[in-house]
Amino acid sequence: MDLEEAWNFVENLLQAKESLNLAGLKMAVEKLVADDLLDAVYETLSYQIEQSIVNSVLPYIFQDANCTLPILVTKIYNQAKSHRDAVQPLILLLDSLKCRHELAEAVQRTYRIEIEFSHQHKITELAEEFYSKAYLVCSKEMTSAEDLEESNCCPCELSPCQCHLILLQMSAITETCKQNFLSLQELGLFQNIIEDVLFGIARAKIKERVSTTCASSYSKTLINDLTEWLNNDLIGWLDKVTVNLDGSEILSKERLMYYLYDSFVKLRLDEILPMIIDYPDSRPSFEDLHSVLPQTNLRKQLIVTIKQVYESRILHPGVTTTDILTAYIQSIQAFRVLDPSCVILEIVTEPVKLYLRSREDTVRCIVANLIDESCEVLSDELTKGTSDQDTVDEDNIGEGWQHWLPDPVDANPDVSSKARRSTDIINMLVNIYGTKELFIKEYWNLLADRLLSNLSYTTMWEIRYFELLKIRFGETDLLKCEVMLKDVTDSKRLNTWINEELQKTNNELPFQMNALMLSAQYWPTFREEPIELPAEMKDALTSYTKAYETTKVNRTLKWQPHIGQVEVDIEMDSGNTVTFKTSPVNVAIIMAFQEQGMYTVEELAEKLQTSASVIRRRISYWQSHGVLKEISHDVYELNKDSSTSMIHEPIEEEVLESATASSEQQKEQEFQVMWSYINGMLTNSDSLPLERIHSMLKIFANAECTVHELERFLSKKIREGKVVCAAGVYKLAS
Amino acid sequence: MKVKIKSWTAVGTWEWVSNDDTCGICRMSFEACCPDCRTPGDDCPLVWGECTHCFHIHCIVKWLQSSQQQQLCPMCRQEWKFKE
Repeated sequence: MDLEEAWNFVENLLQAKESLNLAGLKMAVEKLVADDLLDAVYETLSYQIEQSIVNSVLPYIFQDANCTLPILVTKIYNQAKSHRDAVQPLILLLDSLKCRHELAEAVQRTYRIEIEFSHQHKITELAEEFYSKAYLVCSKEMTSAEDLEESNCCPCELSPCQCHLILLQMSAITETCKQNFLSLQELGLFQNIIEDVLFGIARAKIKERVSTTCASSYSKTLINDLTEWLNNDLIGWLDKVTVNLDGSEILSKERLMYYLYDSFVKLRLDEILPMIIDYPDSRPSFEDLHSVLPQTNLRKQLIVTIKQVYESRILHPGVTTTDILTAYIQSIQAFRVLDPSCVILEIVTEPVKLYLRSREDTVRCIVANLIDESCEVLSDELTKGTSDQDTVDEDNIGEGWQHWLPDPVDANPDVSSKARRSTDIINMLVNIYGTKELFIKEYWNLLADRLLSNLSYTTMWEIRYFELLKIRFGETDLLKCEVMLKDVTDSKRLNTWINEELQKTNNELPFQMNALMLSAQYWPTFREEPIELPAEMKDALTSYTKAYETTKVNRTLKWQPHIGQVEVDIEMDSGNTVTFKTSPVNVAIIMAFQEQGMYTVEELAEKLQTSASVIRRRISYWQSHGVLKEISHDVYELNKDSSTSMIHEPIEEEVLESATASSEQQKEQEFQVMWSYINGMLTNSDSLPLERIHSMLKIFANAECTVHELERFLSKKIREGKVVCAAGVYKLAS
Repeated sequence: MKVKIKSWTAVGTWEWVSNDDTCGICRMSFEACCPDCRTPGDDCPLVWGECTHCFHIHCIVKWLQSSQQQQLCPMCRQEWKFKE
């Protein structure tokens, strides 16, 4: 055998073109070794093997457009096997001659690299298609094997139905896998392609499962169902379609579990706002999140998302303060469940707090909610009282020390873990402003309003809430409120007494007269609305005051004629009688019309000694009830045509207006007090900068105003011509 | 048209009939109470001396107890006598 013959012989063998001839092979190889050409031959040969695989074998395998994964795998495997078989004798021979070679590796490597680089797309596609179908069939089979044939919604979506075929194919590929697993693994096909495909499908299935079972359903805990499904169904399917030779799991269960949790949390993140709004019902969902969150990497994202949701959906001018507060309260409760250390709560509610602080009516809303029986959460919380029952300090962890966890890294180190956990909702609400003073002041205003609009001497309900608030905020701060409530109960007793006295002294009034006698120092400043009452009413007040003065020596009463309620019968000229319950000012206006049928606003204002604007505002009450009509601009007369719009029922005043001065008016009065200080200061030291005035006011007048407010006040004084400001210093105008 | 008042619930504030606004001893308003009391009015009444000066009763009593010698009005230094 000459060199060329030997060369060709080996070449044909390696390309699997010729059947094996051991004797010939041996001769050929010995010839090549003798001529020391083995290395060259080997190199050329491995190149040729590569070329034949790349150019003919693989294109041939992949050319079939309708090829399915099982066929493909079988083909590849058979080709690879025939190559290996063909090379095997040569390998044995070379081994026996102790020659260096890598023929077996070369064949495998060529297959793997070529498939991965040139055909991965195709094989992935096929694998995806096959395994997704296999999954559908398999899950169908698991749920209802017997229903499969008659089922209308066939998972393979092919006509005629190929479910059974796919089932067969599936078992076929399972078999193929089982048979060829080793060689596939050697080729590296499984690791690089099939595993990815399987994991991709598993992920898609997990995602689908999570969104179908969990989307917008918050009222029960679902995570256990999901884990069970993962363990039984998904892992079961994977076991079916794959082969486990060395006992290791093909797809790590931890990886799938992680993905499950991850999908779950991500889904919940998108729904966090509806969940918060649903709160007591959505509690199980927050419990789920609580158990799952530590096992994912989404804590940061959770915080960011919640903050974004707040900013885009809640914290803008279109939402009423009450709604924001509700959301805030719900958030507090919900995030307590989600994160018992309350660190998340602390971080995410920071912008809410800041925003609420910028709204004017926040405190009013909180207080109103607090003492409003319809807002259950806050009332309940208030009734619960302070939560100081567990007074264990930080070092003494006590019972549950095994379950102790350090605070998360993003916790604010200034606040102790204990303090964070123990703050209750009311504390958190009060803390929006940092102090309870503002809160108490608002409660004081609100209580005054409620007592003055109620006017019925019944304070039971108010006392109940007052006692609860007293437990929480302490007695001293609520002293004013206590006096207010006492005023009302005292007035009740005194009023009965005075009425008896009036009867005894034959000084009986033409109508039932009741009064609330208040301690002015302890009530908010009353709104000013001067009015000259009709003689009949003034007489009643005078007799009542006299009776009071005889009972309480050295004391007298100063009336607030615009506050209170009068019940009047108005007998119209048409004979209809209507009962109204309204403010004394309104009564004064209508009684003026008894004497004269028509007034201009100015005339009426002069008669009642009040301003035209008060009249205009008040007279609309009678106009809207059809008693008066405006015949021309600012001229009113009695409505003779009573049938048109008169309402034949007792009417109560719907619009409850606050009897006390608004906070701005009160502030204004405080500033009037300060003005005397400022005046003194500027007289003594000629000129002063703004900051200096502010700090001096703080010391001497104990003033609670910001520099900004002071500046506004001073610029008002500049407009009034009392002060001049030059080069940043204020001077008295000369 | 006739207007007939059936009932009226009026609101007023009470005040002491005196020639001053604040108690000369505690500097609190007469309508408020002395520093030792919690509620004003009946619980912390005013008293008048013959010199026409008036104080919270608790304030003047405390003042009179603390001065060892003569009982003087803190405002005008005349001898303090309660006005009957």
